[in-house]
Formats: sequence, C-alpha cells, structure tokens
Amino acid sequence: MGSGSWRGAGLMLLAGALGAAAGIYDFYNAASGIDGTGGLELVIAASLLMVFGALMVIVLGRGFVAGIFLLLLLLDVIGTGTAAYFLESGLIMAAMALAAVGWILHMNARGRAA
Amino acid sequence: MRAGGFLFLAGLAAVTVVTQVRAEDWVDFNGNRMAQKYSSATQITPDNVKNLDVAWSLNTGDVYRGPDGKPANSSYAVPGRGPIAGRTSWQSTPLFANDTVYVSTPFYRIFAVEPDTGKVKWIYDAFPKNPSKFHGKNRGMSYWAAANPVAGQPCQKMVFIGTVDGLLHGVDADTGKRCEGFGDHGIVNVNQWNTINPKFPFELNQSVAVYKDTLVVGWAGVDWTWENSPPGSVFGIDARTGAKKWDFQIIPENMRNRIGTANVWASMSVDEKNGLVYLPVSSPENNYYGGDRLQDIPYATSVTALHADSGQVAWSKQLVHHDIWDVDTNSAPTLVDIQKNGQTVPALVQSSKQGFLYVLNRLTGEPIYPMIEKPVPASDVPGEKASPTQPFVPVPERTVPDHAPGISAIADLASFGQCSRDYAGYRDDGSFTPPSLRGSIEFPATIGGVEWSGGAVDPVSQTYIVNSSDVVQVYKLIKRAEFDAQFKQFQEDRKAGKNAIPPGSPEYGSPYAAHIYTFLNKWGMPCWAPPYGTLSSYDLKTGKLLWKKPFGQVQYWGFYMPESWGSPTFGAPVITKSGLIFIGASMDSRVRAVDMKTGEVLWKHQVEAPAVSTPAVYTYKGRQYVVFAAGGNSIMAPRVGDQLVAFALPK
Repeated sequence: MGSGSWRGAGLMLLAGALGAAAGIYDFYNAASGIDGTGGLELVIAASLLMVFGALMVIVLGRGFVAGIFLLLLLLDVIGTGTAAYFLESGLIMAAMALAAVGWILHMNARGRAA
Repeated sequence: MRAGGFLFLAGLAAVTVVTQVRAEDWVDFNGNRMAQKYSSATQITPDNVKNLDVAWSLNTGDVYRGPDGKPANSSYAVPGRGPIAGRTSWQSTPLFANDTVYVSTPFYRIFAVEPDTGKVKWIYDAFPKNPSKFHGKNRGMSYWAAANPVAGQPCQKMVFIGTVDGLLHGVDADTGKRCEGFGDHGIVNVNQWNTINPKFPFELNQSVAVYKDTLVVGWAGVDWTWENSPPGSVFGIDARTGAKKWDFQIIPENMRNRIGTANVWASMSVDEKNGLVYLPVSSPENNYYGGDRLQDIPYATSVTALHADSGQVAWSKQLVHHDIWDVDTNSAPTLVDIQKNGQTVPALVQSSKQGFLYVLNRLTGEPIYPMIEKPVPASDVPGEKASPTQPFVPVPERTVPDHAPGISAIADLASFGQCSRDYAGYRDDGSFTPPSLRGSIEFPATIGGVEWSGGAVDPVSQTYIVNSSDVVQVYKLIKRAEFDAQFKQFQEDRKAGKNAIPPGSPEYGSPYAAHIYTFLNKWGMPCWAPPYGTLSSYDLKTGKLLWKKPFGQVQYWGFYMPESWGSPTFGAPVITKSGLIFIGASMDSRVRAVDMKTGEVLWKHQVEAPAVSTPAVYTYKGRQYVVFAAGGNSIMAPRVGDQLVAFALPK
C-alpha cells in the first residue's frame, strides 16, 4: 500500500474517531440540543463503523473485499454527513468532510498504484 | 410631635414605594395584570441582541424524565415525590418583583433567586404530604403586595402557589415562610368548595389572578373521563386571610349535577381601573358529544368579565356554541387601549384554539371587529345536535388557514399512501366538522391554534404578536358498549404485561367515548403539509396582518427539519419597547429573539428543553435580563428539563 493510500485511510480512521467522540460528547451534553437522541446514537454507531472500515482497508490493502469496504465507507461518509447536517452538528459535519477528503486521497493513491 | 409624625409618614411612604409593584417588574404569569407581556426595557436592541449571552443558569432538580423505554403516560414513582403520570411539565413564567426572581416548579416548590446571579435565596416546598395524585405539572404562581404595608409585619408581600390537590399556599415573599394568617396556617383548602360530583380534587396548577386584595382562583381538572365531573366555578378570596368573598358558578343550576367542567384552568387578566377580571372559560363535559347537554350553557367556551369585588357578571361572550371540539378558551385575554376612528377604545384580544382573534370592547363585550355567525356542518351522530352556526372573525385574519392543509407528499410516500387512504375514510367538511363515528378531520383541533399562553401586545404601537400551531387531529366517537369491551381488553392486556394502548377516553356517563389522535402515518410523520407553526404580527388599529412566518423547527430523533416547516408551539412571546420579541415555545429547545418589524430571527440559543413557558423580562441594577424556564411538557417532544436560564448583554 502506497503512502498516499495510508494517509487517506488513516484520515478516514481519524475522522471516524473524531465523529464518534463529538457524538458521544453531544450525547451527554444537555446543552447540545441533541443529547440522548436516537439520531445521535445512529451517528455514533456509523462513526465507529467508519473506524472499523478504515482499519480493514488498511489491513486488507487491495483486492475485492477492500473495494467493498471502500464502497461502504463512501456510503457511511455520505449518510453520516447528511445525518450530521440534520442534527446541526458542526463538529460531526467537519469530521465527515475530513473523511471525504481521506476517501478521495485513498482512491487517488489506489488509482496511481494501479 | 409634629416632626415625629412627619418622619413616621415619610417612613411609611418610603416603605409603600419600596413594596408596591413597579413598572419594570414582571409580577404576573402574563407580565402584568393586563396580560400584555410587554416590557419597557430598551437596553437589548435589534442591533445588539446578537451579543446576548447566558448571565446565569440554575437547575432546580424538579424534573422527572421517566424510565427509559416506558410509555410517558404510565404511572411511576419519583423518589421522595410519589407516583407521577408521565414526565414533568413546566409551564411557569418566572416573576420578577421585590428585587427577586420567583419561579414555581412541577414539584410545587417556589425558588426565590437573586436576579443578577441566579443564587437561590430560599426555597418553599408546597408538596403535599399524602398527595391523592401527582401530575408533575405547573403553570405558574402569583405575587401580591399590600398597598399600605405595615412596617415590621411579615406577609406584606406574598407569593402564592397551588397544588394538584386543591391547596393554595400563601408565602412571605421576603422570607419564604408560610403566612400564618392566610387560611389555615398559610394554606387555603380550595377543594372544600368542591361539593358537586367531586370526581377529582380541584387542581391548582395555574397562577391565581390578583385584583387589589382579592385573589381570583380557577381550577383545572381531569378532562375526557366523566360526563358528570365537578361543574365549573371560580372563587374570589381575600389575599390576606384566605376567606372566601364570592364564587361564580358557570354551569346553569339545573345542569350542575349531571354536566361537569366548563371551568377556568388558564390564567386570567385584570383591569384594575375598571374593577374587572376576565375569565377564559373552557368547554363542558362530554368534550366531544353534547347530546346530554343540548340546553344552552351560555358561559361555556366564552370570555367572561366579572366585577372583581363581587363576582357578578359584567358581560360574557360565547366564542363557540355548543362546543363539541374541546376548544376551551384557554388563555388570559390581552387588555389594551386601541385607537380606532379617532377614538380610544378599551379593548381586549382573546386568542383561541380555533385560531380566531376576538377583539372586543372590554367594558361591554361588544366586538370591535365583527363576529359573523356562519352556517357550519351538522352532526351525523345519533342524539347529537350541533349548533347550526358558529361565530367567525374575518378581521384580524385567522392565525391558521380556514381549511386543513393538504396531505404531505413526503409522509404519504413514506407510508406507501397510508395518509391518503386514511384521509379518504374520515369526514372533513371544514371548520367545525362535528366529531363522528368514522372519525372527523379537525383543524385546528384541541391542540390549537393558539395555546394557553396567548399573545403579547405593544401598547404603544398597538401591535399584537402571537404564535400559533397548525396541527390536524382526528376526532372519533365510540359507542359505549363497544368502548367498554375494548377498554376491558386493554386492561387485561396491560395486566398481562403487554404494551397495550388505551382505546380512547372513557367519558363515563355518556353514550359515547372519544378517541382523539393526531393525524400521523405509521412512522409518526405528520400526514398534513407544513408549516406546523407560525408567528404573526397584527396592527390592532386596522386589524391588518403585518407579517406571518413559520416559527421554530420540528425535531425528531434529534434531526432538525427545515425552518420553513415551523414547529407547533406552546408558550407565549414577550415584547420589549426596543422592538424585540423574545420567545421559546418551539419543540427544538431553542429560545429566540425576533425583530418585531420584520419577523426575522436575530438571535437564538440552545436551552436544555423546550421553553414551553412564557419568558420574563426585567431590569436589575441597570442591566436588562430575559429569563426562560426551559422544562418541556412532553406533548411536543419527549425532552423535559429543569433549567432556569437568564440572558443579558456582556458587562
């Protein structure tokens, strides 16, 4: 796996962790307006799945299964970003923007390596 | 001797000045006794309101959120507080008087708080020792000050709080100690006057009205359960002693034994100059079937003016004839003098669940803008005889459309056409469609329109601001035998531990029970098109609508829906002289400042729960504060809280 690819997947891993952390903070912060909500639970779960997916991409490198994970990661980024938009959570939206950058970086590096 | 006498009088005068109510105070649930919700404060302006920030915040601890995963309408125990039905509901307007912020809580406690720091001065606990029931609901408290206070004597300024079992507590506003001279050691048992069909104790959830040394006390009760519940009544009692001065019976004498409520459960307003108190009178039982009360009940669903000294009726205006929609008159009318055709007219504005704004001469009850009797649909329920006409008000424009909004395409699509299919099975003949056995579309319905806090007025520009909800509900009557069988099954299912839902409201003693529900699809989405709530401004001089905008945001699972959809609202706006509107009310747990000229939101801030109470505005030591009780009510959204939060400009 090339260094660009590492950076991209690493960025997605970081973004997922940041998204989950921001979500957990909001979940327990009574002033967030979204504390304790089902929508936020969904976003936290999706962010943690993003961490797992990014790890799998790093571990698997290339191949069909890694490709499936990349597709799922893209759906995760879009879905979680949309959910964050409707939750009006700037931090989670920023984290998902970071994840999107990571995904693009990874795909670019993957394309170059091919 | 002469000098001593002079000093004594000067001292007395000074004490009088200190203790009397001041213009900048917020002494009433509705701001002032005239229910104007208006402050002459000008420090916070449309230009600087963006800088508004939290000055102090206090959590009272008086909140019950319900056990996770359990339905909110079940009975559970609150540690140290006994059983409670559902979550707490905090609708109390904070008061500012006597250089103190007072607020009452759903656990029947009064907090006296320093106005600039939020530090608690004292807490008074009115929670009954052995409550017959406990809703965890509070709609405010009241403040009274002696016009000629006696120096050195306690209880020259008092605050009053009621409880769910009919006890009215009188408390020294300085010390938080009970006033021994008020009733029985500080408590008047209002429930002692609950003598006809006392199916439930009088619930004193709301604030009492104050006219000089008279407290005017209404009560809430249990709706939708018995046809022959306690008949509506209002009491005038002495603010110092608690002795009853008069009572006002609302239901005609020959019906009192068999027809209940038509009570006054909301706050009232007072015209001190003319000695009048204004009562928003609710609808009688059965709320949805009137076949057992075909005789006219003139004061039901009315605004009624009483002479506050005697309880005698000055005038009364019925707003809905033979009410079978439960559209209680539900808020204190706003009193204001308006300029019309070169004359000053003493007016009142009565907002309503049906979305009409009734503008009446407050001395005579005569409409200033016409009320027109229009034919309305007949009932198809055996035994019922709906009124052939109802009063409509063309000007000012209704706060809601005349007809129910169309079906929401999104909700219909998401439910694979459920909304359209359900709608096709209901009866919908427009405003005042009577309840039916197949279910009738009601818009607006019992949830409003305008709810129990009413509107606000700028008495200078004579501009009236009001928030309103656009909610479609379905009213379905169920024959007695059918309902009883369904209810028996429900009880058995519940006993067996199943997650059973009651088939409706029993209305015992009536040939029909009622099932009232909001028109939603299987996912809980509203089946009607937005907006779901608006904020409007009216020029009372002409009756013209100045602007109307969707207000607030619907929030579901934490997701905020578009601002153009608005939100159902509970809790009124307040107006400041500087041209700002402050309002919580929406289900998104945000409080907002709005430009009174344009309706544009200039500032918003997240609070811990929907601020379904009316905010208070006061100035203390040269600094203007806006304070909200953010407690929720679980009607709009499950989120409830206990936050009292004050905002001010940075020092």
